[in-house]
Amino acid sequence: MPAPELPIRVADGRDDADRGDGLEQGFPARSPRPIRPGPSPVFRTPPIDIFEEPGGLVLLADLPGCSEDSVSIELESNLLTLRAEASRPVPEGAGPMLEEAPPGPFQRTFILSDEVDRSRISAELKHGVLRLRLPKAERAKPRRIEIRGMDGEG
Amino acid sequence: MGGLQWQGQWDPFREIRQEVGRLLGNIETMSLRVPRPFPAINLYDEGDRYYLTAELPGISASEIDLGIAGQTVTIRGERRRPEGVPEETYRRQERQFGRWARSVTFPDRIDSAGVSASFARGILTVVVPKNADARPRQIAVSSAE
Repeated sequence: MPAPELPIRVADGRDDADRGDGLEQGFPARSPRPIRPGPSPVFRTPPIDIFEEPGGLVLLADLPGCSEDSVSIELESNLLTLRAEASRPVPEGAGPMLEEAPPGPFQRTFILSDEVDRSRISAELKHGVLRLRLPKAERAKPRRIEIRGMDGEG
Repeated sequence: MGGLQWQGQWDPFREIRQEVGRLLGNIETMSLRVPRPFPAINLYDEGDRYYLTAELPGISASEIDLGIAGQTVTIRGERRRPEGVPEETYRRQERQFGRWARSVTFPDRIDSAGVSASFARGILTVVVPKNADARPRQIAVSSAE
């Protein structure tokens, strides 16, 4: 059975690493490399998982230190942009000695295909993990067409 | 275990990461490709105490073990994948899971009885008071005249 098409593509300048994992499937050929982060690394890229559910896709993003108020999810044409700001958990006066987690805001952009029902995208944040539900559009779901038996009628 | 010791503020790896990142134009792209220690740790000095923060998204406070031995604070636990998600349904896996442990050896003696920890929004914050002898002090110079 061929792998089902995936209606989301991660487009954050990591395209080279994405080759061959099937994520390129199911997308229109337009804009092969649409997004490049700027020259200065201002944002942190949150690590994500994506898995399939019967109704669509679920995207989990690690956003430690972020509250609901600080997370924004923007959808513009087929680009979904996730932004979040973590609050510093220590007093201002404390001087950093080591910062493996840099203080900048999180940002990551994804390309959605038409298979995602944009009107029903929902998100929740718990313990610093964002759960984004990307339901499949009705017309993208596999449909069973019933065949009525005509025996006995003709 | 991701042991961690330092003598001062200089983190050679950070400089190398920044330099390499600058050359390639994007540090964060690099850091996702290179295996990172889990959890990421930040350390701060506030004069009479240290702050240790660790990014542990998706974990609950009861799943974190915190231990102190001498000048070393160790945190450990296990981060489990979400339950009920069959392996074959994953399309992308970047988040790190499994058993983890990190320890930090502080350059000054610490007041182990005074250590406290809190956990919110996936960030563990440990407050580590310095031993009274290790706190910065101002000593008044008296005139002998």
